[in-house]
Amino acid sequence: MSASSHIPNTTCEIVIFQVGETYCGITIDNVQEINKNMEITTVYSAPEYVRGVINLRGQIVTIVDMRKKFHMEPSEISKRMNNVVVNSKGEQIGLLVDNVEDIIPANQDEILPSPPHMNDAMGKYFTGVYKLEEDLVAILDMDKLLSKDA
Amino acid sequence: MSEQDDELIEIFIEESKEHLEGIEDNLLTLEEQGENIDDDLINKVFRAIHSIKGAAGFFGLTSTKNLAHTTENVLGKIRKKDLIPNRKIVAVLLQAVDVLNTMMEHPDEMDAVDISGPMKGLEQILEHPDDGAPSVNTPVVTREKTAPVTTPVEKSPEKTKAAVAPTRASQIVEEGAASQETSADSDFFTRSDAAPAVDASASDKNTLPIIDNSGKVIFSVSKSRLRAATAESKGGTYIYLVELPLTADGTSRGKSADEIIEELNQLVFIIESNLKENASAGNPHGYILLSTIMDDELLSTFLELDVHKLTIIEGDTFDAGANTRASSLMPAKEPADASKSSPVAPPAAKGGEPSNSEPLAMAEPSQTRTRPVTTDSSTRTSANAKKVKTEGSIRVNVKILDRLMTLAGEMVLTRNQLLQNLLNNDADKKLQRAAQRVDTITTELQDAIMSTRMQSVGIVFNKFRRVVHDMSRDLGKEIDLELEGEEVELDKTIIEAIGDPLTHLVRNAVDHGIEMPRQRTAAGKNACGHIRLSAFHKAGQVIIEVTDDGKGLDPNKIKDKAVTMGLYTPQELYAMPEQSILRLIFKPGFSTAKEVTEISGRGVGMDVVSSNLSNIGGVVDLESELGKGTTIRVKLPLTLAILPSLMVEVGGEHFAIPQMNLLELQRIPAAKVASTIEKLGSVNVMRLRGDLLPLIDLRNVLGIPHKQVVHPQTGEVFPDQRQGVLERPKDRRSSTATPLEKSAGSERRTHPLSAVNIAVVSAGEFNYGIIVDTLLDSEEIVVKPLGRHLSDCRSYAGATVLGNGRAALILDVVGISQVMELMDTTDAELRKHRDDETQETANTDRQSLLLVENAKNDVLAIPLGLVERVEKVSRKTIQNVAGKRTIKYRGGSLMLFSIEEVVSVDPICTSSDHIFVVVSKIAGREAGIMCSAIVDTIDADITIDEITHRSPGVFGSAIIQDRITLLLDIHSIVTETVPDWVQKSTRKLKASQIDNIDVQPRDEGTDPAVPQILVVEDSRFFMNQIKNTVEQAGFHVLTAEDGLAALDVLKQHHVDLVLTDIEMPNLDGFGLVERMRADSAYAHIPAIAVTSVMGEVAENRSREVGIDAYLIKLDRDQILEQSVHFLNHGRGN
Repeated sequence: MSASSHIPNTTCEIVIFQVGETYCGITIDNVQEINKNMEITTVYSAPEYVRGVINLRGQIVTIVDMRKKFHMEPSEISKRMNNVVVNSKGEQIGLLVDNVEDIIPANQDEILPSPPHMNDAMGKYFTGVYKLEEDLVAILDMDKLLSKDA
Repeated sequence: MSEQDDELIEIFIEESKEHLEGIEDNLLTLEEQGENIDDDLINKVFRAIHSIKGAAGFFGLTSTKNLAHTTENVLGKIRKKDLIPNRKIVAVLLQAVDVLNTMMEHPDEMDAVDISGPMKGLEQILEHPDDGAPSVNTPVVTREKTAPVTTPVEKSPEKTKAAVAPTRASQIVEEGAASQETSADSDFFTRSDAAPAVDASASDKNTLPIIDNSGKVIFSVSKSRLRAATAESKGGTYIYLVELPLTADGTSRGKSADEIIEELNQLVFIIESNLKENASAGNPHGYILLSTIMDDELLSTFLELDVHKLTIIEGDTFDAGANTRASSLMPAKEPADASKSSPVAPPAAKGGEPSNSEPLAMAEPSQTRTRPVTTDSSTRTSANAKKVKTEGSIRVNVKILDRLMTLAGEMVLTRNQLLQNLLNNDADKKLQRAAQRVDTITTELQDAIMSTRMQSVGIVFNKFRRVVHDMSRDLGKEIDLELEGEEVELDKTIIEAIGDPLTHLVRNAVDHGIEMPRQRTAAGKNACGHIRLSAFHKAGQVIIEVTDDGKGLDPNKIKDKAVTMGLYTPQELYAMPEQSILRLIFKPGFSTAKEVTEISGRGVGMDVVSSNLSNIGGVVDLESELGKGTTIRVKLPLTLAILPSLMVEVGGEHFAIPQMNLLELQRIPAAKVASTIEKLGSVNVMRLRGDLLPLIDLRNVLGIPHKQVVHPQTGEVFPDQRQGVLERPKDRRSSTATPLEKSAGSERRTHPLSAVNIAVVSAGEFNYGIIVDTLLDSEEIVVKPLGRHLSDCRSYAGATVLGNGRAALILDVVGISQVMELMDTTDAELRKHRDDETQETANTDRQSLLLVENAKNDVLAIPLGLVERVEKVSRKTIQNVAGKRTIKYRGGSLMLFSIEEVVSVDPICTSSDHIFVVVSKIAGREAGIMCSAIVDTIDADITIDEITHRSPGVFGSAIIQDRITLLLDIHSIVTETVPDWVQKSTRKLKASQIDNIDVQPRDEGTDPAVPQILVVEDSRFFMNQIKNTVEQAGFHVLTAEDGLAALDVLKQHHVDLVLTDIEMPNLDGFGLVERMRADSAYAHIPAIAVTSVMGEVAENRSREVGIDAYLIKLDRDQILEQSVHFLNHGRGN
């Protein structure tokens, strides 16, 4: 599934966050909440990219460490970090990101297809690129990112 | 009636009520459909009555059955289209349904209920099917006959007063009963003044025909519809029949009928309307039946109608529940007037005689004249019973219950958090009290909600009567089934899930457990077999046992089967405890039945039973005694939603172990770790009451890094010692394993963190131990599912939220054992372990050992060669002088030594007046070692592990009779207790040294003045023992592992003395000395045999071959003494 299915309108809002040096974005309709609940219980023997689980008002939510997902060095929990809780196939999943930058309105036309050569650890989850004034934001494909096999 | 029957009847009643519930509406719909009846609908009604008939017959409830049967016949005709469900027929059917309903309300007197009323009607229909034209008169016969008989309400003597009596509810009833006498009872709203005797289809109490003054039916509305109307959003408690004056062109005040309806629809709920002109004496009018919250005054204002144009239809006529509200309204409205007014007349009938009170007065007769045919004890109880029915039980969607459960779970968690926070803070007293209440209420709430899902296990149990009955008949067996604890309740889900597994277990017991009567008699048993199914609570779980007194499981057959299936070798099975052998029947594909019988051989094995039960968190175990019977025990959780669990901590994270799987907790003190936990290949095992228990370290399972641990009190940081405990050298026989272990052991003893905590759990087929850092409290936790990314982690059963709000994981005990491949690994390791032992027999010395007991069941071994005698002495004769215990012995005194003072074992058992004293000669003096019992003396090929358990007073350990047994070093026990003892002997030895030999230690091999002693020994343990002894005395030692190697050493080195073992591979001690004596180069070298084999034959032979002395291996004093002697004096004499 491509990102376009998440962006039915020509304008949408994008939540922009940082993973390492990379700016990533997801459309806001994927996002349920953003929190700083860092009481993460480590789940040992879980897939490497799973940082652990948190209690989100009684629900057990899996926290995916985006750094690990992108094959970066994991970092210690810092104050700037956030969980971007998304709804994925009826389940709430938290994306542990280094920093939530901004939420911006964007015109869908301005989301460009991602460059074809990007097929590395990160690139395979990108469906498009959005150009900010200074930086490029990689738009993520939620389904790919949170599929069990990826 | 027996208890079981009671329960079944309850189910029958519940089901019947459900069947009857929809029938009213269905019958009414059928009536509407008339000729074009809906086949599905009639079938539905037919089936409902049919089921009631069947069940009633089963319970021998004759009248219920007869009534249902006759009803069914009528329905059958309707189904076949022989009868058209007209009004009359349906009325009779409804009457029958009502009587059935009454029966269900009074289960105790079900069969006493009078059924003559409906029966007559039904029979009439069957006999004269064509006589069924809708007629309101026909049923009257029935009613009149039955009503007076079955309406036992006391007749009011003051009939005339009845009408003027205040409209209090209680009196209404009496008045009603009274008026029954004067005016014909009717369900219809009739003008009593105009047509007091107008009869109605009295039997039809489910439909309210609403008629005008001429007796013409305006509307016929089912009561349920009226009831429903009151619940409509625009509707309300009041139901009015409104007479709307119409003009000749069908309008009212210039509005068309449609407009009126539309207008009304804004404010009230319209049930029925008929605005077609009803010309009545030039007074055209229409009728509207509506439900509203407005009282008559308000409504009349709103409708711009005289209040007398409104007729209230009293709630009680269609809904017992509305009774109070409706009646309470009435006194407010001029009750006195009520008497004057016509009770059941639509206002129009009054012919322009307006009266405010009319609608209210209406209430009385309608209320009192319902249920003409109640076969109940009283009309009022019937009404009450209806009320009870609505209050007593309602059907709730399971989803709502689940939601409630979840919320209760949340509540529990929040409560936990609240309490924890209160404990942490010094909250004020009021807040604490409130919190206490919240705590109590939450617990009750949780229990109450949980109980909505609980069902008694009897539901499952009772069906086994039939199963056992039928099966035993088919098999020609006599079996008596005993049920126990049927009242024990379990979650609905669990009740549903245990049916099949239990059926299998019961069938197994009948088929394979209980023998044929002939066999039983032959075995001296009662010919009638006995199977007992019992359920009981134990430790927050429910245990269900299936016990039979049959032939029991034959371990030999199981072994045969296991061998045939290639699961184990006979040797492995030989070493297996019987319990483990029995448990093999839970292995896939295992069935011991010689031939698959039709009855239980359905290709379903005990493994399926076991796995089905473990799916719902159950655990199966069994006990069996050959010839006596078998007990299969199923442990079940009470509910699946809330899980009593033990919380444990590993690496700072909390984990929950379901109580269900938990068997016991073991805390191994640091001092005992070494003696309790050992390593078999890659698996750590622990000896627990004779069984080998595989151990897993949760850190290893989950990959939790071995962190530094912080001392809980001091805050000091230690490297985790536990790592060391279980990370012993892989090969315990390796020579590189040094006494370092010992020092590590002593270090562990110094701080409390080094004890090992083990949760012993059951994974169904087998048990194992989970090593954790800390054992915490038990908690009731709420199970939450894990997300999809974690669904592959088989180590977890889910997650929960702790009191502090953090998430914690629930361990899956079975999953972990699979992840660790525990069973297989253990099997393999145990197998390997046994192989190793077998292989090593050739290398091992045959040991003569004395097995003694110190603490109860704590067996220790003493080399028999060192034992002089064993004495049984009375405790009273022990004298305690200056901290030293002695007894008078053979004219002198014998000093006693206690094992526990040196060796870390439990203290001597003190339950007996006597103790045993093992007398041994240490350094020439006799010493007594105290023990509580002498177990045995054995000659066994054993491998002594000199590393694992090496500590003061212990040579090492060996597996003797399937148990790890410590091998006591008596010499060390004595010298540790009385250091003098040894020094004296050493001094003695030194004093006796010969002039030309310097026994002070020197650099090895450099000083020819140091005598060189060749030690020939194949057992590494004894080699070390002897080598150490000799080296410590200052001699230089050469070693060889057998006779041939010794000859090589002799060729290359100067040897002053040979100490040799007798039993060795390649060339034994006799052979070695024989060859030495035969070779002039070595013939002069003294040779001392050190052996553990006692016996004259060996001693004689040793003299023959030229051995100079024959000694016991572990008697180090003798070895030194003799060595020194021979070094001094040579072989000479």
